[in-house]
Amino acid sequence: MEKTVLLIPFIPVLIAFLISFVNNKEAIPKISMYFSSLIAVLGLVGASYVIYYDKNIYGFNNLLVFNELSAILVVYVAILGVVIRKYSSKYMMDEIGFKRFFILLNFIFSAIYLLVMSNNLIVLAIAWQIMSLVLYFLVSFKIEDKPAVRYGGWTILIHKAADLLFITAIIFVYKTFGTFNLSELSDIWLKKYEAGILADTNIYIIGFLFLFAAMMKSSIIPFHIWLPYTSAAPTPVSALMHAGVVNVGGIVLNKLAFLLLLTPLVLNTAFVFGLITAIFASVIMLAVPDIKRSLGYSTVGQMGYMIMEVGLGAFSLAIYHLMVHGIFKASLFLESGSLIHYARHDPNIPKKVSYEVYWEEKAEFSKSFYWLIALFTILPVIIFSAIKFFISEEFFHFNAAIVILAFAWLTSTQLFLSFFKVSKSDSLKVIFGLISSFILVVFTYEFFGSLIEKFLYGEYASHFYKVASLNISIVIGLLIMFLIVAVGWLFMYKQHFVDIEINGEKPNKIKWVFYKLIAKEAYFPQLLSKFKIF
Amino acid sequence: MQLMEIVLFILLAGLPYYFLLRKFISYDKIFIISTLLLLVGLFIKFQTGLQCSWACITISLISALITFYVALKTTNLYRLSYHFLFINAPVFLLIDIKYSIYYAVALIITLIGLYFIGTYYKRNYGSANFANISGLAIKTPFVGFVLRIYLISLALYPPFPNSVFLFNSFLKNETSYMWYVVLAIVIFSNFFIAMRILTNTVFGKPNKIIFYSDIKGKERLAHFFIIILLTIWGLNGLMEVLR
Repeated sequence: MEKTVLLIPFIPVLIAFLISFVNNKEAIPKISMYFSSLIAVLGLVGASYVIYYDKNIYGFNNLLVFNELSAILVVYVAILGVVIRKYSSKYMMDEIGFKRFFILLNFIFSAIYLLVMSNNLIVLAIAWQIMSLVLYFLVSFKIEDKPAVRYGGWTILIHKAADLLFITAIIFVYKTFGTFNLSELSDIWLKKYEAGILADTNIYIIGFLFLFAAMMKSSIIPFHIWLPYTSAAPTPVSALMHAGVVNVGGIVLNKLAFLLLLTPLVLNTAFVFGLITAIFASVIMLAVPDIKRSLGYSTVGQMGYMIMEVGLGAFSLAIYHLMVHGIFKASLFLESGSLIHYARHDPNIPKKVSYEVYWEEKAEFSKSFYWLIALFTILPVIIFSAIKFFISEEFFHFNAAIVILAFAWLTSTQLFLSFFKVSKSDSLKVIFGLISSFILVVFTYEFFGSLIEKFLYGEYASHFYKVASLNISIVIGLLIMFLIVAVGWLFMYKQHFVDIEINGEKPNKIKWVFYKLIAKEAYFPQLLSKFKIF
Repeated sequence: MQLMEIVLFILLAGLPYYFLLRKFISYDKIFIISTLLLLVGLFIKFQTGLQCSWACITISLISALITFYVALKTTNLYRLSYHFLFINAPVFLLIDIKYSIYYAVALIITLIGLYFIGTYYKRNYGSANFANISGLAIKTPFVGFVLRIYLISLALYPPFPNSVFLFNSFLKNETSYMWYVVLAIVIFSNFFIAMRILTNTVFGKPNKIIFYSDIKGKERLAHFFIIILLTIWGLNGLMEVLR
């Protein structure tokens, strides 16, 4: 009976098939919503089974599995799916190709479920490729719009390169280990690690091929350009892309986590590429004039953090991060329509929550209100940390990971500060609000992060930290963090003066070159535009 | 290079086309002749059990790249159908005969579909040329859908048989680094040309001065049949590798 959950990847295909026979525009989203809610329910049933019985559900001749990772991600994707379908039902109603949109949407969800639940490298490769193809059709949905089609071309080109690396890696895996079954492969890799067998060249090639394939689909620099430029896609597609599709790199690396135990150099490479991406994208995010592209670069930066986390051995943190970031970014995209609606009626900045809290001058909260916030944010964290300090050494395993989380939070703050004009007269309130949010994030991670880690990897979790030999102590981590923040914020402060003559003096040439480099997004788009790809 | 390798290279890599056929035969017939030459070549390979040398495969790769360049310059679906055959010549020379036949059958079935679409273009728009005939997905949804399937298959995406059998052949044979060079070149050549057709004719703004007409009746059934055949053939290949 529990094996019914393994039908999840096929339900969206069934929806697409049913929709293709329906011509009533109102019925299409209803069918889609009804069945996708069913997926969410099935996902919850599967998750409760896995948690309650502590057993995985295998089926279709072991090709599919509903394990701990699926229990988290299927439910997340299913809920995201319901929200996006519901949103699309009205947002896309007047678009040409409404039915085509829903069919494609269901196909991409099917591919994502298949990818998450695959227990076989062939199934994984099929899902991996179909997802890219359907994404291309969704990004180029407005087929009459030349830029949308051109940027769709960039997307599919980079994804095809990732497919080639992925297929080559699978061929190498089969030639080296003789099986496609992921559970068997994970056992083999774990045994090799426990026996202290060093990885040979072939295993390193496999590790690097998978890493670069994942980096291409997760838009890590220098393969990032497809993501910021696909904002011409319909808003629900942008939400799906930033909350779901771009995360597949992290999901696949989690599925192959035990392989990476054998290849510390691959983990270190992931860390370095992640770090470069995080810095580079976070700086560009502040300089690009297009708000949607700025959001795109924000996601690129977050993907950099996610890959950094993998590089540090914090695999579970990568999952936590991709989910939290996905929810946050999907909300931003889905809210954009309503913000535009407000903006059309009001020439000022739309009066949303952030505006009311940080900008609008209004009656002050009483001081006891701040004490209350402090009581409910800072105090529990101090108590929790103190208890963990005395009873558990595990707390220190998370230090490097928490530093990364701090990076992520700080760049989000940068994004926030660049979007909303903060009242100078009450900067203390802003700082207080930001610090409280940081503490909440760290506290949540400390609680949920360790919970997810135990759930996903159990006793093996500590192996990953050992292997990720690029050991970052909390002091070095903090130093790097402050360096990045200082550069980022200094740049943000200076950028307003870079092209303005002050007292008859011309702008500093180095600053100007730096600004040009950043503002032009390191010339990646110009480079690609020179070639008429298709 | 042995004499038999040279014969195979001539039959599969399109040399008769470059030196002879294109001067004397109308190009809507060349696809049929090239397909027959490919089948003869595979028959010879089957009979002789010939394993081609690296020299032969390297030359066929260069010839594939030249054909790729030529294919990028044309917008005629008839011409592109046989260019696809020539671009895939290194695969037929490299992999074993069983998968050569499987891959060839898959490729030919897909190209027959593309050739039929070329015939549809000729009948409705005067030639098999897709230049300026854009926006098919909006104006003629069935042609848009069918062409998309053929091009996905030619761009080597699963679960269609072209990609599945190419992948299977790599799993079932002893491979060297040269195999991966062939894989990369063949995958990207097929992909680029297929995507170029897709972007320029299925996508884009519909041309206002053209009267678009969708495929109907028996022709529609024929395309459905081809797609079903491709799907079954592809799934069969998948089952083989998963077993």
